[in-house]
Amino acid sequence: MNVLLDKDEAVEITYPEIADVEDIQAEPEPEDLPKDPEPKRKPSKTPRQSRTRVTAAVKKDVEAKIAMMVGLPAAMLTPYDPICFGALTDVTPELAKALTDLAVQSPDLVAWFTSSGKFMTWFSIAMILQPVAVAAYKHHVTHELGEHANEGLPDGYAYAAPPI
Amino acid sequence: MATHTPPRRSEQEPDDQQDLAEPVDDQADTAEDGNLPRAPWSQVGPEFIKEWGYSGGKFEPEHMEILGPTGSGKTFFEATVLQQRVKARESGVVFFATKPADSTIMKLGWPIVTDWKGVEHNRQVIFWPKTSLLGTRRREYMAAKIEEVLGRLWVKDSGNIVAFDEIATVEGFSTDLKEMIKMYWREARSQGITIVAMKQRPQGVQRDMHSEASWVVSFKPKDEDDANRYAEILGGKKQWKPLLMSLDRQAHEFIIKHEKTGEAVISQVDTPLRPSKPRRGTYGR
Repeated sequence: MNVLLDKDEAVEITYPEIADVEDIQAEPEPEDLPKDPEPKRKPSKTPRQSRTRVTAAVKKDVEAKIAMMVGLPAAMLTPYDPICFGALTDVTPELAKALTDLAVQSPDLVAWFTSSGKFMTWFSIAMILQPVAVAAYKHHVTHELGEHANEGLPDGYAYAAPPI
Repeated sequence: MATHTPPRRSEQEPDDQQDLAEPVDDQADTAEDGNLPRAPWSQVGPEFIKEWGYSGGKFEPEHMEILGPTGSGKTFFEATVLQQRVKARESGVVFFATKPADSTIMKLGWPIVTDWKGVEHNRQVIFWPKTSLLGTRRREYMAAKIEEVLGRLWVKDSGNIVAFDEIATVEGFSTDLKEMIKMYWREARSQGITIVAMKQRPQGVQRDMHSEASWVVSFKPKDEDDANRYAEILGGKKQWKPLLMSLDRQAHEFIIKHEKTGEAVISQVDTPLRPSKPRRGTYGR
C-alpha cells in the first residue's frame, strides 16, 4: 500500500497497489453515455471543519483541564497565602464547572482545549512561569525581596505572608 | 431490462425449482407469474448502467439498496456497479467504509482517505476514518467524521454518489448521524446525490431507505424471517419469497428490481473487479 502525504496539506492518502499492467486485460470500451454532472463538494476552509462536537466526554475533558488550570496554581500558592489561595482552592470544583459551561459555548475554545498538545503546552509554560510570578509579586508588590525589601515601611506593615 | 436464456442451474437445486431455469417469454419480466429471467451481469450490466440514474434520458439520481447476509456477494456487487458507473459516466463517488479491512473494496483501486481534505481532492474516494478509540468514544469519533463529510457533500447539484458498506452500522454511530442519513434518503435526490447502501438485515433500518430506493438488489436471505422481510421490500411475500429462496447462494445470485418499471431479473456477477486509475483534482465548490 503506497502512503502519500498530500503536498498541499499533511493529509494521509493511501493508494492501494494496482496489479501489474499484464494482469489487467483490455476490456471493451463502454457505450458512449452522457457523463454525470461534475461533482461538487464544499471547500475545506470553513468554520465547520474546526468545530468539535460537545459530547459529555468532551465537556468532562474541558472541565478537568480548567480545574487543573485553576486548582494547581491555587494549591501551590496556598502555603504563601492560605487565606486567599485556600479560598480559591475550595471553590475550584464549582468554578471549573461554571467556567466549562461558558467555554463550551465557543467552538474555538472547545477546539483549543481538545486539540492535542496545545492546552498542555500552554499549561506547562504557565507552571514554569509560576515561580517567576511569585518572585515578581514579592519583589514589586510586597517588597519582601530585593535590596529595598520593606524599606520605608513601618514595622509590621509588610504583607504578612510566610517566607519561601 | 433485456431477457436472455438463463445459464444451467446447479445440480443441488431441488427439482421443483427447475421451472425457473426454463427460458421465459420476453414479456414475462416480472414476478407475477412466478418466473424471472436469468442472465449474467456481463449482459445485464451495460443496460443497467444505461438506465441507472437516467430515466427518460436525463440525469435523475436513483438510490439503490442492496440486501443480503454476510458473504452473499453484496460488497462485490456494489463495488462492481460503482466501478462500471464510474467508467461509463466519470461519476464522483464517496464510499464510506466502516468495516475492518475489506479486500473487495481495495480492488476498486480508489484512494483511501481519512478526512475531508482527501475527499476534496479525489473524484472517486474511499472515506475510511480510523481510530484506536473504543466503545462510546469510537462511535462519537466515527459519527463526527462521517457527519462532516456528509455535510460537505450536501450542496445544490452535488452530482456525487454516496455509497455505504453496512448502513445499519453507520446509523448506529449516533442519533444525529441517523437523522442525517434519514434526511439524505428523503432529500438527497433533490440535491443531485445518489445513495447506494447495503444492508444485512432489513429490521431496524429506516423505512425511508426502502421507500426511497429506486433499485432493489436482493441476495438469497439467510433464513425464513429475512426472506419474509426481503420479499415484502420487493413487493410481496407470495410473489417474491419463492424466487428469493430459489437463488443460488454459492453462485452469488441476486434479484435486481427497478421499482419504477417493475422490471426484474436474476443475475450474478461474472466479471472480475478491476482497479481503476485514481483521478485527482479539486472538487470544492
